[in-house]
Amino acid sequence: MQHTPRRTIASIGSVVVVALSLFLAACGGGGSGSSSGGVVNLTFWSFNQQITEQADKFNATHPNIHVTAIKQPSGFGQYYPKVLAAIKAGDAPDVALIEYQYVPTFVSKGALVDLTPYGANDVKSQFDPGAWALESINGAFYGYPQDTGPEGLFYNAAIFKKAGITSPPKTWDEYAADAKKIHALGKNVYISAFSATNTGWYQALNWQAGANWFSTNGNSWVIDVNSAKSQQVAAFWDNLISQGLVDTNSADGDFQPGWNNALDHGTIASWISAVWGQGVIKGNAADTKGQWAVAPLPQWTAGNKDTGAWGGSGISVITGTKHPKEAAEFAQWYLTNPDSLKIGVNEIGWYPSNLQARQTALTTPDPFFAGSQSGGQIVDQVFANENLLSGWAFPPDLDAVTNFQGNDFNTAITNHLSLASQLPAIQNQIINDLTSQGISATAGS
Amino acid sequence: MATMPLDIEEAVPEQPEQSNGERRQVLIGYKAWAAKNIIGLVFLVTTTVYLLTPLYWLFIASTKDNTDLFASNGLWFAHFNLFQNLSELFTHQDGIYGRWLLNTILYAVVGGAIGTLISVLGGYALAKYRFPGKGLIVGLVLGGALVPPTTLAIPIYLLESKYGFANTYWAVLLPAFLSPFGVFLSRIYATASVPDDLIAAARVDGASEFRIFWSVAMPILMPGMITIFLFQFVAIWNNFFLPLIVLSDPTLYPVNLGLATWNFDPASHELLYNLIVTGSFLAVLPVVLLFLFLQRYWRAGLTFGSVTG
Repeated sequence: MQHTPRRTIASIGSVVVVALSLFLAACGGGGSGSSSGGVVNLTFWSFNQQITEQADKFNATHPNIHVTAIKQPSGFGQYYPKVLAAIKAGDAPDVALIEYQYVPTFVSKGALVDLTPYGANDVKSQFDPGAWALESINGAFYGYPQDTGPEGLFYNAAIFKKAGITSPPKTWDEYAADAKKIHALGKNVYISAFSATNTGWYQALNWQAGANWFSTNGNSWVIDVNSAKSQQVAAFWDNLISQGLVDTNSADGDFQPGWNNALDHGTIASWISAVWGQGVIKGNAADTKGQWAVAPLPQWTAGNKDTGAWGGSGISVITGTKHPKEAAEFAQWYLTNPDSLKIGVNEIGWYPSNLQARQTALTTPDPFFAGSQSGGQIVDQVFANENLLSGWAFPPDLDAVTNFQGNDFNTAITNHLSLASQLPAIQNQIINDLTSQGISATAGS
Repeated sequence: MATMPLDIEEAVPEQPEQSNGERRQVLIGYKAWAAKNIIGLVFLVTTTVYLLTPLYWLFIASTKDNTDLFASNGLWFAHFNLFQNLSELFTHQDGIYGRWLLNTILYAVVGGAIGTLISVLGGYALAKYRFPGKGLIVGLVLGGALVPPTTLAIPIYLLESKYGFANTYWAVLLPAFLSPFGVFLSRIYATASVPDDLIAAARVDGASEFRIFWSVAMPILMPGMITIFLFQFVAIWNNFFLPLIVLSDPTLYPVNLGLATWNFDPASHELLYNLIVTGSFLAVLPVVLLFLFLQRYWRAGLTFGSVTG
């Protein structure tokens, strides 16, 4: 065996040579945002799978512009650090998908182009006003709304029936009463999981209650996490948590394996989620096909149809593009052209913010959701009948807010403290964080 | 290891004619021995199970479709769907998975090999030559080994972008060539295993300094080099954040980054969990195989320099 090391050197050496020659051959090319032969080249980043099909359609009808669409990883801590690093390096795409919740963060870094000078207002009437408002900050407009995530209630009607509940809760009071009935079915049967770190979900419930955590007053941010309305929402969940009527085990939180399993085995009976949640339930709880149904979000005032949104995104033009006019043209085309919208709705699965496209999406009943009517519900229709409140805005430091809220709520649940008692601390941490970045911020209440 | 009988029955001494006292003494000795070894055995078995369970889970999971992934017992088979998963895996998006796997192999093999060579050159020089500023360099290398690589990803990207090779194979390879930890380990190996007298003898024979390194020192350092290569290989194989930041062309992605692009996309109804899990299982196999093949050297390398000379 004395010779083996030498042989290993030789084989490593040869592998290196082969590999080097392989990738030298493969290298070269690249570069974006350039124009050659009168054609403007644009790069477009999104985390949807089918964007290349849409770009092909655009390129076929726009001989002077060529868009290269690149699908990026979507995970938290992945897509946005990448986009922000690319902006810093000057390598950013010309056009990119940015979720509504991140728009103010990007604007505070000067990363997005105001689209008002490029004819944005000409198409304003085509879009959901609630979504349009999320892209409008201080009179400027930063991206065309792509999809929206109004919240509703997905529930397993078979379990509700077993608990003696014949119709879904219309108010939060009814929801609390149903929570009790469902927990009576068994020690580990719950109406819902309550995941402390699920910040977007929880913010949308505050949005529905009419709270507005983040707003602007001139050049200053007003942080109002501790308002009476936020206290009302926190007190509601504190009540359910202290009675043990919702599952606060973090292993059963949304998207966790325990949660997937509980949905499929009927030990978690409902999920307050956005319209895109239908795909999650269908994928994860396939054994309960036909038992599910969807209802509007329970209300604080009976008879209302208010909701907030969890998720949703728009198409923005990134500062530093050499061709803002063409980039803005593509962004507008992407969300107003019927062919592009059709791919978005049918293949990607958007609940579109473009109102005309939304109408076409509201036609097919889904047999998976046949729990309340045979043949299934037209799921998107339930969400379309809700009223997405205007007035909510997202903060200019979303990642920090997510950390503060997630950590403080987690601590509260672990130590049996109330969520309500954490709100002042969360508010102060946000104000301090903004102030330390040189952004003016004051307390709302 | 060789003196530890695994079968406890065999170890019971059969001496029926002993007096009671003797017998008790033997038994007490045996009991102490057995207790110590059973604890050791239990510890080893527990650790092995603990370490292998995720791999086992991954294998089981790769044989399931999307529904069974969540609905069935995670530690046992449901409908056997492995071959369908594999064929979907290699055809989804025109079979880009195969390309990702080759990319990862390229990054890890080339990056690991050149990185090891550079580390050993550096470590040998720091161990065997005296030159001004050596202490400072050793300190800097040690400092470099303590910086978490993730924190360097964005500065590296900004540099690469400035010099125009972001979003190329070089963007991942060049940073992989330099491993402060590898240099640090090489220095220890070289200090401990290459005798100064041997180098002096080679000089007397008229060998050039590079010849001494290549023909005299490097064969002695080979087990250490393989250790460093494995370290580097695994580090590159698992590196996620650097490729995420520096690459934006999916055809250049390593396999872990590529699979991440298939991960759950809230707006999309397409669930690819079965492909992600099967793809992960496949991506783990080369690392496991490499360790099995090279473990002799790996063991030798780890104990290098642990005895006094």
